[in-house]
Amino acid sequence: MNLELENLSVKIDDKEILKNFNLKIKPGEIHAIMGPNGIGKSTLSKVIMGYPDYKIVAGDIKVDNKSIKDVTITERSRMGIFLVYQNPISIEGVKSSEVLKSSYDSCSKTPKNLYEFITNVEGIAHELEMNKNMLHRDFNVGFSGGERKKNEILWLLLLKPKFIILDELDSGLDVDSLKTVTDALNKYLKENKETSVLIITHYTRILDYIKPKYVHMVKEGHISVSGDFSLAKLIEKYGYNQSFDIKGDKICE
Amino acid sequence: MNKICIETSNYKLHINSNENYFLEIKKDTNLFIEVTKNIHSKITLLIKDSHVTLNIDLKDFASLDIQGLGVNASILNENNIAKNSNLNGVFSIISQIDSDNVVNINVLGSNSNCKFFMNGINVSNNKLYFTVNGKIAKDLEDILLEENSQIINIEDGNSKIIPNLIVDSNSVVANHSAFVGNFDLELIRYLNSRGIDNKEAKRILLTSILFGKMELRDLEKEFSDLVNSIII
Repeated sequence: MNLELENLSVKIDDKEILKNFNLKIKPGEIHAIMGPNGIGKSTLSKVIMGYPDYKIVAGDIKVDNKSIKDVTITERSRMGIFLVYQNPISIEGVKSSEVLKSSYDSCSKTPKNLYEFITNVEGIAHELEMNKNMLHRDFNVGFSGGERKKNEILWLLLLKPKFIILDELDSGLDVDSLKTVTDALNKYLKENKETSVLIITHYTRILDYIKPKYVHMVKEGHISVSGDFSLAKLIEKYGYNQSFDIKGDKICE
Repeated sequence: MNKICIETSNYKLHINSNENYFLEIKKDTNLFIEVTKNIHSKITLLIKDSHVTLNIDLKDFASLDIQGLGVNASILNENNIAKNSNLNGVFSIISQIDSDNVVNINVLGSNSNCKFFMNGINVSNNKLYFTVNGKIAKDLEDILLEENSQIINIEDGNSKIIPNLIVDSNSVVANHSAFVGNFDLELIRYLNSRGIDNKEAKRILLTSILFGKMELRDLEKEFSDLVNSIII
């Protein structure tokens, strides 16, 4: 999937969060957006996902050169955009399997039978080292932060998206779980070479597990500097208050 | 589980053994339930198209988990809780017609616990009222009383919750919460972001609101089908 943000300006409650934001992600590319808390990184994920509270006041979002500004969240999901939430919700009284099945059926172009669904889900759960019984518990209720994140990745692998947004994936995950989850994601990306990823993070830890080709630092609602993986290491070393300039392909401190 | 279909206007259930009951009520009924000393019981009620006056007497050291689904129904519930007893109640009302519901919780003895949840779905432009009165008698000790009520309006219904706590003792933990409003948009959008459309998202959330606090087991499908038949 080819995703392009063109001079995008976004407001919520009359406050401008993104200003002239430009980003182009080609099929198969992995990009990372880095920035301190509260500068609109999660806003960006919800804008791409199509949350209507975030008003696009200028610019455009395009998928494969077509504007998706008027496409609903549901349709964007069915197109293959998948947002892994920083804080996944829980739903009391509804089994995980029921929620997953409903989503699976909604996103499938052809009807899938229950056996196929169960086989698929249990296989993914095994890969993620999740207890199968979790599928029969209320959705995310009583789950630890790590279990919720694993449930998100299970859902992702079930729906096989073409564009993945990882919003602070590593928060709530211990080292072992992070490795399990990122191993599964890397395997998926290897098998689905056209799938693009946008990693949103303020720490570099996740980038050691899923290596981005491009790293962008966000300041004041837009990308202030872009570079390769070495930019992440510079940010880690000097912090977000440091200015970085790009000269040619080289990032200078 | 003992299954009883109540078709009389007065019915008394005297529980003196640790058994579970499923009571189905299809006409206006006065229902009296007494749980005797040291007995633990679970009761599931299904009330369709009728008004039920439900009187519950919990004797000393008794325990009752009662859960009920009312479909186009209303309930007037009086609970008398003796010392060292436990009452856990969940009533869910889904209504397309005017429904005025009252729950009175009378804590009469020390060392007693009561948790009560009232959940409502106001389907159309009708009236759905909950009045929940918790009363703790004088000079009791070690009481826990919780009342939690919520009503979700699907359209522009007239919904109201009146929660009251009347406490006449000192050694008491008592609280109440009440919410009237629409579906939580964050939840809807989360489900939307997984390809689930608004209609299906609302069905999932309705199930959560109505049955989230219940243990339905074998009755799950029957109850869900009933709710779906109204919503869809």
